[in-house]
Amino acid sequence: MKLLEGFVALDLADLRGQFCGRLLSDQGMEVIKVEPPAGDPVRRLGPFKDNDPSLEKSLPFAALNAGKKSVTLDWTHAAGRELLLSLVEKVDVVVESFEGGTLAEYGLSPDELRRRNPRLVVTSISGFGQTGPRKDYLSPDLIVTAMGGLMSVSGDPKLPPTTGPETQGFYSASIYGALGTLLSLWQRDKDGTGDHVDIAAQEAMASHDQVIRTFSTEGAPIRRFGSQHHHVAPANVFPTSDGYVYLFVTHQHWTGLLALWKDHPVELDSVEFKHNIGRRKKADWINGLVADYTRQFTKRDLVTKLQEAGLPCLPVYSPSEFMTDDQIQHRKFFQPVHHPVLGDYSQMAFPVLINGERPLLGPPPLLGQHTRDILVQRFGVTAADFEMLFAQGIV
Amino acid sequence: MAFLDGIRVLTFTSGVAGPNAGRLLAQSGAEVIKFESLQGGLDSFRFFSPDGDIEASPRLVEANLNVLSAQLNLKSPKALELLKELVAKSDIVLDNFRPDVMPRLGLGYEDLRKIKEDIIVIKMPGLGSDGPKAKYGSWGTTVMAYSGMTALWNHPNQPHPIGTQTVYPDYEASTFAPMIALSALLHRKRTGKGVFLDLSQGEMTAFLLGVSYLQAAVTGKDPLPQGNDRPYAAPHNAYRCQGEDRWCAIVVETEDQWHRFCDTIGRPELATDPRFATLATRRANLGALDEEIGAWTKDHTPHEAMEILQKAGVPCGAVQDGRDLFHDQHLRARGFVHEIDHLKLGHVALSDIPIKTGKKGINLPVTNSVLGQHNAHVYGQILGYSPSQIAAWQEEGVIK
Repeated sequence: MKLLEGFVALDLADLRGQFCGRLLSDQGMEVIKVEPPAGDPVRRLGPFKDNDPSLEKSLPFAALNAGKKSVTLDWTHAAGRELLLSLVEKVDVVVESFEGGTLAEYGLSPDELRRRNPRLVVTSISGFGQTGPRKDYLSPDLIVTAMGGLMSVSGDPKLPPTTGPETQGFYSASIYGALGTLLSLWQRDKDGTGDHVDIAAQEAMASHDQVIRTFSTEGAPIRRFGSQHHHVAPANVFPTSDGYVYLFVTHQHWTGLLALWKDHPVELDSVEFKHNIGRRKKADWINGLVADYTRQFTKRDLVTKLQEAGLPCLPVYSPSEFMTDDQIQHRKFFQPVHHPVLGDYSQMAFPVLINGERPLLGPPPLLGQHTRDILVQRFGVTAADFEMLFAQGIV
Repeated sequence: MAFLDGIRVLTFTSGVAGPNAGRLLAQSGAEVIKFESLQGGLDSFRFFSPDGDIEASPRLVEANLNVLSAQLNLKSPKALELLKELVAKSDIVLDNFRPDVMPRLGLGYEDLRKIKEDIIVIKMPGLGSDGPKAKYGSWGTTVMAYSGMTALWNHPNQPHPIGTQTVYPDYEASTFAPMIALSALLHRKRTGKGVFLDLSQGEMTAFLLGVSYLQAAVTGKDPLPQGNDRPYAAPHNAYRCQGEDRWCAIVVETEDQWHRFCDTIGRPELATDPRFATLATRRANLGALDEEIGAWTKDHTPHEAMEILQKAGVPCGAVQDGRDLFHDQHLRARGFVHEIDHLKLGHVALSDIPIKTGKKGINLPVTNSVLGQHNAHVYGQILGYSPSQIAAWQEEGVIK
């Protein structure tokens, strides 16, 4: 089921905004990547298959661009710019994530794009947004996860604050970007005009865990406690005989845990531990006792036992454990895909079943794989013009 | 005009993911009605208040901004009838109950379709609506553990998994759900058809690890935690600054940035030091590199270091905490830090929605949801029942 069938987007985004196009593509929008003839710079980012740093073997590229089409087009060249603008006239969405001012230098600012196509929705995903005193600050992902507050609440307190795996700040921003894009398309149905969507990854990060509100109501910022939740206990990673689980026990589950844990220390029955606040104050001590209990079981047995009693506990999985989990297999979350260079592999699908079905998506595109098809067949560039652009190295 | 003016959403949500999804739709202009009941059907976050007052839980307040509150006791057959009358006048039904709850009440997708054929139903359970673990209960941090995120979010070579203490997946799911809701609305507009969307929060969290999962699939080996390190940059880490537990993040991605960095910190000789002259040699000597950089950052506050380096064209950011964000002048200038007055909490600062558009189609945050505050609106204005009839149902425990 392709919910967004019929919509077309041009994806000009770099590492920071490519996930947005992936989200739109997974829901059925036709997403056309516009790459410079030398290839999207993300194709040069590792890790690579076989540790071979060639353009078709970058795993970040393959993950972020699955299902999209690839057109090469040098828009830094005047004829390329004009060609890009002629495409812009025929699409619904442009997604971009350049540092401020880059597009404008080439006469391709969001305003210019929208002048060529007033129905266009331009979605800009950046570190600090299109306005404000820090709009021009350089913003790779680590910088925005730092500035957005997520690092301050993540990691072992004895070690430096820790950013998330991959590029979480921009993934988060990209989801807001897709939402903003779709809201603007919805509005366009009503008033006939496009819009410019401005997403700042710093703000996407600062929306997490109510860090601003917590400071405002508690008078002190949340600090990092490793795996221990700020307000709840026991809510932490706990050891088992063969790995770890995460157990999260709030007010309604504490009595359930004690009932199941028949030989628990009697001190835990104290009324002071009935409420989160009391348990959180003595979290270290309580966690130690709970760990003695959880160590008696295997990860699988403990999760089954606690879930049967209605207690929220799930295993700490590695990616390969997750991929082989019966629930994940049942829901066909990974699908076989063939790529001419990467070979046959399992590709992660969209995390939503639509009318009970998993949306299908194709492999990532080879560099320029769809240039001729898209330009000539879809957008009406004449064969002669195409050959000329090709000879000039523009496509 | 807000974007979703005219759209009505019925929600049954608790915690963060569901309520916050409702807030996003509500601030986008939809009329979002959240149903709770004093008969064992309250949002669990109502119990996160310091003194037991169900209206004074700060977490609840922020996660439910702009959402209307109605009471409905789903244990009463009459309540189910009222709900069905509302479904007939609504566009979207969203819940984050365990997946079997709504179907058991006769409120599954197929049941609701019989009432309103083009209804859009969104469920966002921890592990999805079907399958052997569909009934498993979860909170954000447990979903994160299941998804592989906890194992990968750590410094390298640590004795045990860490992850982040935040309920990270909840916030991502709360954005994901409105996003797919909008796709469904656009689809309905074009085809006249409703849709059933089953969002698994566990899958969605793994979806934020696409590169790692591809690595596992293609190489057959599990990727390992990278901490703050990335293969394409050096330095790429957090460095200790002046002050207690204060840090800044520094990233150097190009040779040009590296030269500017060395000049700016007054150590031009580092740029040509054979240990640090290229990305490859810097990566081979990360320990020594981090030491040299730390020797400079320790004499600066995080914000000083950021200003000096950004001015010189080198990516640097303070590791900001909630206090820094509260005072952040850039966020204030963009209107992201927003202040409201709440009946019980008083003056509260909180974050607005991080979507800015030219048309300003997103409403400002407002707090207006004392439990049942909109009962009269929902059962009176929308369904057309008289105040005396509503009072009778309140008396009988239907609207409770």
